Amino acid sequence: MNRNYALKRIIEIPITLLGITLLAYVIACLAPGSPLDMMTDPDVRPEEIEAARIRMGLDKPIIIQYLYWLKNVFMLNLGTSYRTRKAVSGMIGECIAPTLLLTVSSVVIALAVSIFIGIKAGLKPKGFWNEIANVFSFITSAVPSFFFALILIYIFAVRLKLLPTNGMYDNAMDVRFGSLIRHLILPLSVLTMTQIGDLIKQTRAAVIEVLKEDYIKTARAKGLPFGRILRKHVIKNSMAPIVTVLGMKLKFIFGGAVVTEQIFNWPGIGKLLVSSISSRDYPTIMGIVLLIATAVLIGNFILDIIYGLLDPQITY
Amino acid sequence: MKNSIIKKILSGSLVLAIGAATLAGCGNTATSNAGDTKVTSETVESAESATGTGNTVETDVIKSITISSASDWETFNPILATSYYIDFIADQVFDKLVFAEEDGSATPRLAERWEFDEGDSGITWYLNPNAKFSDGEPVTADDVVFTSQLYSRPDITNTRRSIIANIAGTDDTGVELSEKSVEVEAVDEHTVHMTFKTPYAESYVLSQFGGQFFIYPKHIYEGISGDDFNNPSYWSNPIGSGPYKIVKSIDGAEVDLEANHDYFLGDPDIDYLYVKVYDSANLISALQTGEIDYTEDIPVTDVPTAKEDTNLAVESTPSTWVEAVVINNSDPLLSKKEVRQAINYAIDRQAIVTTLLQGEGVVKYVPYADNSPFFAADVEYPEYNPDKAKELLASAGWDESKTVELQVTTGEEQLAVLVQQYLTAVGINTNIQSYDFTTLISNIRATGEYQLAFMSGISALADPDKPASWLTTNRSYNFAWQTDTTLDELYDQGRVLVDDASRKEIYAEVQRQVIEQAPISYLYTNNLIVAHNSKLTGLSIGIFGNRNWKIHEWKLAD
Repeated sequence: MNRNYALKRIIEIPITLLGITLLAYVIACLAPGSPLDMMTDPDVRPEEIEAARIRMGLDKPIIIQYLYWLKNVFMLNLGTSYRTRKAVSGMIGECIAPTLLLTVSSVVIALAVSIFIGIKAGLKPKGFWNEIANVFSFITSAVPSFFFALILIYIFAVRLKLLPTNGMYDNAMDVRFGSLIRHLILPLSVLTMTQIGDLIKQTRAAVIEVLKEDYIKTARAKGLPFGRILRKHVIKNSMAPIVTVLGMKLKFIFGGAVVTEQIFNWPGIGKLLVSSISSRDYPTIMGIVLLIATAVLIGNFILDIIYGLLDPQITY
Repeated sequence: MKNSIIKKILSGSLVLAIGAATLAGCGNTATSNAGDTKVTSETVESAESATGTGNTVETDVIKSITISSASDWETFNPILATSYYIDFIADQVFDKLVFAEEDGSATPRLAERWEFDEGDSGITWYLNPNAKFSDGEPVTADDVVFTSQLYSRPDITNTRRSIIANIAGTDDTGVELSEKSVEVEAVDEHTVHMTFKTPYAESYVLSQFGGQFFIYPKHIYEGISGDDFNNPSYWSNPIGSGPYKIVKSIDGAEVDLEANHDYFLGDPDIDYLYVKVYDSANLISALQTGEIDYTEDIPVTDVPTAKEDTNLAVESTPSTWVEAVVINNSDPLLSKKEVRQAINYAIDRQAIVTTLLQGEGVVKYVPYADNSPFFAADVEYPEYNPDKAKELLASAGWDESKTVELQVTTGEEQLAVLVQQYLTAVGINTNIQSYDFTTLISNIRATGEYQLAFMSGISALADPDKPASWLTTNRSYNFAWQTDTTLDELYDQGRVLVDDASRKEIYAEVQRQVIEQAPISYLYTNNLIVAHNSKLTGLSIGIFGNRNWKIHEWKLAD
């Protein structure tokens, strides 16, 4: 990768972040309702609500509020949540690990399964694996994640009484690995299943494309064993679309699986985002937006580098 | 050729199998298998470590129950919280002076007895000398004095401050007039006296101090700065004198409470409480599998399933949570009281309670509970009468070509459709619009951009002044955008009256005016429905509405 290009990309990141966060703040403020609307206790007086408005800085114009927030961010302070009055960075910090555990595992497993099935399916277009691939991709693309979740809950929790459906552990004091794994199974299955469909289709298509290439024919003509062709050429060259897909998955990986986390009460970023939006907790919303945007921008930059390494023909 | 046919059959059957599994998942549960109960027995070693004693060998099983909460709690310091979800936890960690009972009386908690002064101008509390905080220090009169001062400090954000607003030495809102001016003094080590600004009805005083007056330990929190107090991070583990203490929590998801076996009112039978946030849709399956043992949030539609399960028990009691149609009195279409009265006559409340709530509710026309001492039985109610409604509309010159918009929170669509039917039937064309709660509340309170809307809130039991904030123009929430001040005057008068007879009269007049002016159309109160593991006994469900649970009396059978 050309040094100038790299520099240009690196400088673009903070500028894009600025644009994203400004837009997010303006939209959040323009949405009807404000954090003060959550103070619905009948004994709270109008003066207290006014005082709260001033304390939160909500009496100032939106752009000024945004600049205050930005100033704090430069000082590495994400502010204080309106809802819990805790530091936003702390709240996000506690939620990020559960989310990453769930999302990264689901991506890894989905990739492993999809690449395996996709390659098998691509090698023999009329074979058994191709049929499997079709079935999987049809079902998992058509069925929404919450429906999957409800079916799994019904089968494995209500009927078979095998697996738990709530939280990360049996209870907070009992933080054992075994308990975590049991609690992880259902949400992980849901997330993995919803991703497999598309991944299989893309891997299979990539494999089919690569197999048509001249250099594959050359390798076979040279008499190379097919296993070696597979490993050295087919797999490596089919990975480019996968890298692209990974880039698109970054926002899912850091943003959390909102619906699944809600259903299974998984204490992650997705759940935090939902409760922040419903209570118009601007600092937390902004913190999460910043997190996801930064992760996506930096992640895509890194993936573009990898992309270039995978395919030397690609130069920037 | 043959191979590919076989493969097609195989893959076809796979699709069918998955389809069948999916459809099976759609079926209704008839009866479920007997669920496992949630008593966890552990070995003797854990029993010892849990109670912390190295000497005595405890051979009891460790009992724990899991309780669901509809939402997470913002903080463990109850006076900082703006929502009520913390109340359950706070009732275990802290003590209040008394338990507020269903009928407006009170039973001893931190105070073992109390005496009102002559003319109800004050009260003396005699504290139970056996009460101790979870760190072993005794609860004394100084702690009650300290708590009162804490409640009245202006530098402390306190959403429950109004409780002490009637104690002398504070301003209208309960803030102290000068440092420590609140007139609460320790007569001796276990006796405290409070002086009131104006005499207040005894039932009201007891419900206030049995409600949200949590006693904080002076020896821990004395000298705390306002910033520290208002900072929730400071409160990850508050010290109180209650039957349980917090041992572990996962932010936004769960809190684990351990019993205080030295609790002065009795050693709780249940050793651990696990309070977890649960989505209401998951509650019935969680109850059936035994994942949770107790919930107050079960949807009415899941109640029959719960009742069929022999491992579960379902109990209900009337609550003070009232559902109402708030009317924008300032909207030109709705400003005539005849139109609003018509709305009252148009709605068949009993049918709604029967069909929507499956009987788990009480029809209400006024925001006063049936068993409130201030409930006026002789008020004439606008019972369901569509003809009368049409008459009223005609007399007000209602234009049947007009449409009104009914705004509701997402999730309330079923009730919305019923109300829409009733209104349309008398000639008030209604459109339904659903929003998230924050937007709705903003429309009602901040901008007034609504015509009809659903709101729910607390109706009055012991404190007849409670509904005033919605029904007056000069208090916090003029939701109905009223301009008429009749109710303002009545409520202002009621606040300063002393003797029961004249108070009852004033509030009876309030109720008559609520019907006459019809600024808000009250519909019903939801019953509090508790679904729990049938091995859990000793629940005094009637008092749960007052935010005390007496969990130290609960028993879990083996």
